[in-house]
Amino acid sequence: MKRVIELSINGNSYDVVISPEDLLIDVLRQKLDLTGTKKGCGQGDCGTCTVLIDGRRTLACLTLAIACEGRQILTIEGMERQGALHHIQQAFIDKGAIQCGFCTPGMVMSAKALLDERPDPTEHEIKLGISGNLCRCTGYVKIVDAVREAAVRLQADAAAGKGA
Amino acid sequence: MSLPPFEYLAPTTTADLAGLLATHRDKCRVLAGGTDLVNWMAEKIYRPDYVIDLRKLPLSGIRYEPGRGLTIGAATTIEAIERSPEIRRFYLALAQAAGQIGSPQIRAMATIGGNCCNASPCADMPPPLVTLEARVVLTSTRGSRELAIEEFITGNRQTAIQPDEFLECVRVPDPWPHSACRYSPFGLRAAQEIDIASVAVNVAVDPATGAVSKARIAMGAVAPFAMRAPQAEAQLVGKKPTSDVIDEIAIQCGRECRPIDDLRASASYRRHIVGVLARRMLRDAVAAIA
Ligand SMILES: Cc1cc2nc3c(=O)[nH]c(=O)nc-3n(C[C@H](O)[C@H](O)[C@H](O)COP(=O)(O)OP(=O)(O)OC[C@H]3O[C@@H](n4cnc5c(N)ncnc54)[C@H](O)[C@@H]3O)c2cc1C
Ligand code: FES
Ligand code: FES
Repeated sequence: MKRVIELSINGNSYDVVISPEDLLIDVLRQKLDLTGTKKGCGQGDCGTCTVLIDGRRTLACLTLAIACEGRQILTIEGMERQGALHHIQQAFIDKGAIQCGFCTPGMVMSAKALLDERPDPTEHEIKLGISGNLCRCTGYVKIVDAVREAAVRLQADAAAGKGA
Repeated sequence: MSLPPFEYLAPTTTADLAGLLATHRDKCRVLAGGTDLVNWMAEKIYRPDYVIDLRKLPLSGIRYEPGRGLTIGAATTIEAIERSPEIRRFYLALAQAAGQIGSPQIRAMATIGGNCCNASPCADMPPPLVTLEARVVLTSTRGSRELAIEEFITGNRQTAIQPDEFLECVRVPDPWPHSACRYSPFGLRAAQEIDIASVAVNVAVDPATGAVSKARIAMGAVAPFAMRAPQAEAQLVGKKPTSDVIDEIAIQCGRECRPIDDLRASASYRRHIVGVLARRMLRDAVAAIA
């Protein structure tokens, strides 16, 4: 049975008509036009649908939209601030960590979850942090570099009292 | 892929949950992390009329009390188990198993209850739970009952749960004195891999004699459910765990498991891997006790 639910996404509130069986990934992409989050495998393997729900990394392809009522959803569209890219996004560009870009939104969200918990991760921790995200193009080396670079920039900001 | 239609229910008390299960029985499915259930519904293997979400219920949490053991709520995430200081200190094999599941995303979503109820032959939590003599608490409007994990998981994706019951929590007794437990799976890549085989061990050593006083060994992905190696266990008890003894026991584990050939590995390769893992885990456990 269709019903209206309220979703909080990137700090905005959306009233959306859904069926209980609608998956978050489809609601984001098809009903709310938030197409930054990608749908790859649709079964939990590739990580490109990764979003943060209440700060925790979550696969939107395995999540019912209706179960997200009352929770804070952060998608790739919510990363930029006042028109400026987030440090993680900019570091991906600067380090050449993007080729086709299909994995990038999920990679960035996984990197965000990692750096929120561990502002100064080791290379091994970065690899573990993105181990649920598959990239067919880059070979991962530049992605790891980008996350490292983002950590440095975020820490510099924190030291300068600017916050993330 | 879209899911078949259902009604969504999110009870806020366990009494309501039990009531809904008693009413809808076979027509409903409990939803925890959804990492198995959503896939199974997408493949139309399950077509429940009602999906009952656990997320508003107080079913998650880890409690350890010396003398009373460990209680893990059914909806506790795999990530919380991996990170719990108590579990890392007293039940390391459980943290090792949790840390090997899926990916960071899967671990943040998946629950221990879902892992046990899904009862996949290659699930990572059951082998260490078996070696730690874990029990599950099943609750319904009829009351609660407790079963050993080995009685609960009865076959490939089969459990003893009744349609009106839910898994409330998993209980693990206090660690044996002078003991250590270890777990390792083996797969072809480090993340997002389905195990070829896995081995959990739990060993206690008598400090007076240096001989093994108690031992449990469980093997995953080499039988329809996590199976023990009773002969290997019996052979180990009473002996000093020298490296020759451990080598012998490890080979015996490889003999006792019941693997199949499939696209991931041949049965004979699985037997070999069980031996390798058993040797490594027994060595690690014994070294940790000494
Ligand atoms: C990409 C991917 C990788 C994976 N990798 C691994 C891995 O490495 N190792 C591994 O072991 N598993 C793995 N899994 C399987 C899965 O993540 C685990 O089995 C997980 O623990 C299931 O928990 P859940 O909370 O998501 O269960 P759900 O999907 O919510 O539920 C699973 C089943 O259990 C029932 N259920 C859940 N909780 C209860 C309860 N409290 N009472 C009664 N019934 C209940 C549900 O009705 C359903 O039938 C993987 C899955 C995916 C998609
Ligand atoms: S689309 Fe969700 S993990 Fe691949
Ligand atoms: S850049 Fe193409 S998949 Fe990663």
